[in-house]
Amino acid sequence: MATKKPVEKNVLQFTEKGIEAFEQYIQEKRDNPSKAVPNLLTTEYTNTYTPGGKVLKIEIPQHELWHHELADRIIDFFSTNGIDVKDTFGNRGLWTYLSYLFFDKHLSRKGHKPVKSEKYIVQEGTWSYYRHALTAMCWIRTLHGKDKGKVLMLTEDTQKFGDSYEQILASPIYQSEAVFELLDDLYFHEDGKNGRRSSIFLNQNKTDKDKNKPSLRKFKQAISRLAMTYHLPSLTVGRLKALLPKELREYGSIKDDPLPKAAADPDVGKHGVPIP
Amino acid sequence: MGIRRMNDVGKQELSHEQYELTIDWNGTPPTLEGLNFTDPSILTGCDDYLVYITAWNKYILIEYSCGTVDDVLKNTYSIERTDGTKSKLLSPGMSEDTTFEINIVHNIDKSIARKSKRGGAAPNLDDLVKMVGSTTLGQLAYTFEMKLNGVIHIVVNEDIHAAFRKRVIQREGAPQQFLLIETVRYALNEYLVKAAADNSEALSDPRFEPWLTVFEDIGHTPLPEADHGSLENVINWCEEALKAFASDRKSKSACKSDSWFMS
Repeated sequence: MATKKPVEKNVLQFTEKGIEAFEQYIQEKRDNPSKAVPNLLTTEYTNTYTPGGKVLKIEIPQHELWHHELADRIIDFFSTNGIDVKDTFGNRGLWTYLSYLFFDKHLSRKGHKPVKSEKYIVQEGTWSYYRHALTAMCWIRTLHGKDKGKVLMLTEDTQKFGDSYEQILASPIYQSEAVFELLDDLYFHEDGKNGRRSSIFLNQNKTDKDKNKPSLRKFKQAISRLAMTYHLPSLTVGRLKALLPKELREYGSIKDDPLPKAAADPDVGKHGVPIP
Repeated sequence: MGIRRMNDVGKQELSHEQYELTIDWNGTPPTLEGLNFTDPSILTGCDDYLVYITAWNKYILIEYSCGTVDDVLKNTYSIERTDGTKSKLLSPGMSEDTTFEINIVHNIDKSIARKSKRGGAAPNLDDLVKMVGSTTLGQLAYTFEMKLNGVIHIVVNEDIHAAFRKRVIQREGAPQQFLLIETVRYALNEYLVKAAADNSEALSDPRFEPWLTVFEDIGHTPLPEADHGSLENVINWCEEALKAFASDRKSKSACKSDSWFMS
């Protein structure tokens, strides 16, 4: 089947009025999933976005993509225009506008009932900002590159958003390379071109064989607890695994690497006076 | 090696008064200029431990290494990103609402020995509310004491203090949230009392300044000076402030760390 040609659009940024109008549309589409996307490209709803003094154009693919494919396209778009995508994440108007551009072909296709508007509209303040679907996809991709975080990125349909992103991104454990490496080791299986997630990842459809395997929620809970005591970015993946509860250490191919007993520092665990 | 319980390695808080972080916000991008420990006594025995600074602004998290504690104390350190770029620049996307955290990490087992709170410009509720154990409360379940700098102590008996600390370790937050709301109610009541006595003086009272910033931070702006003439206005403002706080995430996330407790 021939692939439709991508459509090219100017990159703008929404004003507050544009964000409100987009949110209003999302609400209406929830009641009427076939409602067409309104034209919010006018100056009434948008500002220009001209980094380096030029108007940028982005291609909107007209065929379905996987999460990592869409993320890669957006990151590449910024990169080819000399922009580090990480520097744009705080731009609420820009990323809400990008959601608008990708909305009807990717994030909420015709007939699909949109989920909560925070998935499409970047929230203000430090609460819920990580729930923005498009930013979250790109964020994960920029954090650890193309070969890590596969288990989070391999979601077939960009209009479906699991809570797996949020499980990881909502806590300060996302910056640890070792955490992402372990995640893939525990829950990702090579299987053809794209691989697949383990069924126990989101605690769904567990087989008898898998019934005792810990879900992502359990994994995140254990890592969050460790993060209160250990500096996660300093731990190697083997050392991190050695510190996890037994139920998590038993799975995966990465060998745990505990501190040798003989080399243990007698002062470990006694960093001075107790907490005042 | 079995898993350690969290927070069981004698980790100590590094308070904002014990270090100085210098940032040049005028540059593009801003630059992390220097770190200085103003109270080296808290680092006794930690000479070889590693010093890290984390800068965080929503999606952007950058970690910097400063060598060892000894390097920082002797001013022979340099600040470098841990991603290998050897830069002390912040991201261009980082503005002055960026928050920073200092971690002193054991050089062998990588446990955290000293940790600062994630600090920004706005006061932190964890700094404004403290639970204190007491043996002289008598029949009272708990009581509040407001200090001159606005910090409120929730005074409870020793057993309750210990029980709450256990709850915090087990990450059970409901009782704290109840007491936290009660504490905010107490702060607002004190504000009301002050406003009734001195009208607009409440606005400039140093006890309430951090609390007004907290309310402003959650979108409930302080009552204008002119509106303090009517007590009814102040009562309404206080009621709305409590509602705004109770429905804000701060009420759910604050006061759930060990640093909340004072013995």
